[in-house]
Amino acid sequence: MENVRREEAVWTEAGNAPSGARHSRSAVLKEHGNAIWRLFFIQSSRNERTLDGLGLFAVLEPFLRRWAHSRENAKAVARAHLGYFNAGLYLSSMVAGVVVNMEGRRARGEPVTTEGIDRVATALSSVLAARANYFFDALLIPLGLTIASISAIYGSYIGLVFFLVLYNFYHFRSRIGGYCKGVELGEGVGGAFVGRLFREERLVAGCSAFASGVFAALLFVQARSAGGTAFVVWGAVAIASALALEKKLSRVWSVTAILCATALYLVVYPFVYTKFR
Amino acid sequence: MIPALFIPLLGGGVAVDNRSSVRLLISQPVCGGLLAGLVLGNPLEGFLAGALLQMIFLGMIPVRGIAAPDLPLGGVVAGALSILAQRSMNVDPTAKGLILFLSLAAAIIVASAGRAAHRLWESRSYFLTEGALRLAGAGRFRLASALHFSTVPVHFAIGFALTAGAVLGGVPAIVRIVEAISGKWCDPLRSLPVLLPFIGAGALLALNLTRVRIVLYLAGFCAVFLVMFFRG
Repeated sequence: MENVRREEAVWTEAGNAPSGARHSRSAVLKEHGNAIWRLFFIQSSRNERTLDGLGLFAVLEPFLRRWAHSRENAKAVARAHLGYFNAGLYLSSMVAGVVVNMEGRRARGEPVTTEGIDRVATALSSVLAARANYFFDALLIPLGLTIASISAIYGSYIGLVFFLVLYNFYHFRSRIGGYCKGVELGEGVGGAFVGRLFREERLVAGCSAFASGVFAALLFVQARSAGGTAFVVWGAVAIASALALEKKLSRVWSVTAILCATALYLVVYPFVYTKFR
Repeated sequence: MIPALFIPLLGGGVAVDNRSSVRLLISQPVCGGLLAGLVLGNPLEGFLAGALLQMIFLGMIPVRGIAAPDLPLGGVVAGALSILAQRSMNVDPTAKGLILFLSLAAAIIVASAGRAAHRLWESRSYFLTEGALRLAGAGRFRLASALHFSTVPVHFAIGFALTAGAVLGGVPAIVRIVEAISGKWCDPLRSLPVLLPFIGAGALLALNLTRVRIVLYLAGFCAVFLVMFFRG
């Protein structure tokens, strides 16, 4: 029962018209659905000056007329959300939800200012972007792709399926769930809530490290059976080169250099081996 | 040849997934290669080419301010070129490794070109925000919002054009190069899939060079050998 009430609070908090008239639940759901699918294109118009400002505006656009008391007021609200916005990809939806919550409350006459909304959005953006980017880009995606690669070594698609399921579970949870949390809690998502985000971070980091070790070992096993000690040695050289070039060159250049060196090694080694044998 | 026409459409699709922030990650090279293979009727070949590109770039983390190469396009191109080039000629089995090498090289070039095109677009596309500001000032919110969504076809077009160019130009180029220089000397290149993933393994090791994680990395490394030892 409590859950039902809480749910109702989530959906009515942001969507109420300034007049105080209540809308049917389906209308409110429809309105949020309209925002949720737009969230999946938020970085589409990314540019160097305002980054995702236009994307945030596109997410908020269905709400503008509801929030504004007059046409002029609607224009002012629209312009306020067409500035700089950079909350990364995965939790920008949560920031959008917070903005929806606060604008909704302002429209109902609560003491929320445009500057206040801007301040909260900016503060949350950097914190949430940092946490989400680390979790997804440095832990979850490498883990999933390492598992996909391990299974690909044996020509199996299972790892790829596992990667897509694992990643998209967290992906949808962050983007749709994050938006709903933002709408529900408003600026309350800051503080302790942010600290509780991605609690499984250490577990994923551990699994990622373990899987990376397994991947490297399997490569050595495969190299040993395919080309003997010569391949094992070259594998170690390739790993050392990748490590050494990591800081010196961009990834594309270091990959190109090692790719060419490996091809050259494969072509030249048999000749040298036959000659000196 | 008809299925090959769908490859640019696939390239456009993965570009939308990657650049429009839909980000279901079906655009990862391992997936893109498989999809290209499915379109061309050889899923395993496409999957292996895409997976190889994926393994080479494993552990690459997009750092703020440094644009990552468009690997999704690379995955589709690697898969498509390795299948189409082998199909376009009477492949001498010794040339397979050379074809794979050239396909990967083309994929890296396309991935870099995709990044360059995208950076150029990002540096020039502020005019859309300016237009949206003007429209919002006039109270035309829906049109202002439509300006944002008008960029989705742009991403599709970039992916489509680069993939089409790579397939149309890449297949004949690879065939000519292989016909001109292939021979017994390139037979050892068939072992490329064994050695190239070590590049990704090096990058993954770099990611795990912290006190706790390196212990777990070594545990995973040793676990494989322990299992192999007990299995005899």
